[in-house]
Amino acid sequence: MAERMAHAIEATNLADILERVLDKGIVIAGDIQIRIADIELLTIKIRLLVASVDKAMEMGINWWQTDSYLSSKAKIEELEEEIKRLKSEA
Amino acid sequence: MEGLYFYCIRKRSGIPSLLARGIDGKGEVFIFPYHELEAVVSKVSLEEFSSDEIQKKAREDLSWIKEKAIIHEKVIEEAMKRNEGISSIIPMKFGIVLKEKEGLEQVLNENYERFKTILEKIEGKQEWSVKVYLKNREKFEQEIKEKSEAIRKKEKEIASLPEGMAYFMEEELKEVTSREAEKELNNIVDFTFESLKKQAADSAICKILEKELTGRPEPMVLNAAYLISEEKIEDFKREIEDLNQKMQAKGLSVEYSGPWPPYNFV
Repeated sequence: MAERMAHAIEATNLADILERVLDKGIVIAGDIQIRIADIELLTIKIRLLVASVDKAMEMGINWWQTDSYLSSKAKIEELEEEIKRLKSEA
Repeated sequence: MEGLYFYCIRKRSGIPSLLARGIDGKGEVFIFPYHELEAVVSKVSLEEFSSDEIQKKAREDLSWIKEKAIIHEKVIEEAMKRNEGISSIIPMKFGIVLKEKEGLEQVLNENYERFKTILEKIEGKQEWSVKVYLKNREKFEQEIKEKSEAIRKKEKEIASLPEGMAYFMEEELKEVTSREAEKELNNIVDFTFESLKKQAADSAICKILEKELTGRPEPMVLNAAYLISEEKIEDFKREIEDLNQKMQAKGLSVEYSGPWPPYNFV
């Protein structure tokens, strides 16, 4: 439990850092600007980075498993459901 | 050709270099003085940092972004510390590289007045982050059920109905409760933000960080930043702790962290 708390604090802190460093701070025109992706897009991607897969599962985050675009297993389950439904209707 | 990665601006310190390594993982982080100000920078290879490869990494490779953003932050945090205390600094946004000393000098020259104005604004102040989490939704809704006139009335009505009718009414009750909860939550969030604002020189509402980002099971309902005078920080923390005590009874929690570089107030 203590370990999990520590992880939670760390993740929040990392999210805070990323949000501030990449999105806030003063902007000046430099000779070169390292251009990062659109911050919204980055946020979505960072979710997956911050919560490593097994930690995320432990916390009950598993949308990529049940989202059919992201998981073929989910797709198969979805199809099986569909078959079952059609059979029962017939 | 040589480039300079730009971390932050601060008042002259007389300290020539920092302990942290630069953004490329090896360069020394040093001071470039300009009038009464100084820029904190480190050398990078211009070829490397302007290359397509780096630009591509910055857009696509999240572990690269994460690593570099953390270095950026760590350098600024070190630049901010001075003899046990905190000195006022202006943090740059991630990713600014200048061509040689001439490029940096030009930027300092062009922005000198702007930097001075910002430093004046943040002098003797610190950024603190305050977050409110909805820790226990059930507890929160229970509290609302007990308090709400409309809900109590509905509950009484249901008790007097035959079973079939009661079922639909119960569904309706659930809806009313969650609507009331949403309303009350907004009120509490507004109240928290506004009451802490009284102690602050400036304040900002930040984006709510989702559960996937915080790694915590409870949803964040407020993410705020405050610019607080040094002498008010202890009072500010005490007020947050008091608020937290009260909120815990409602199923919410209030947390703070800081001092942060004043990213939200420059």
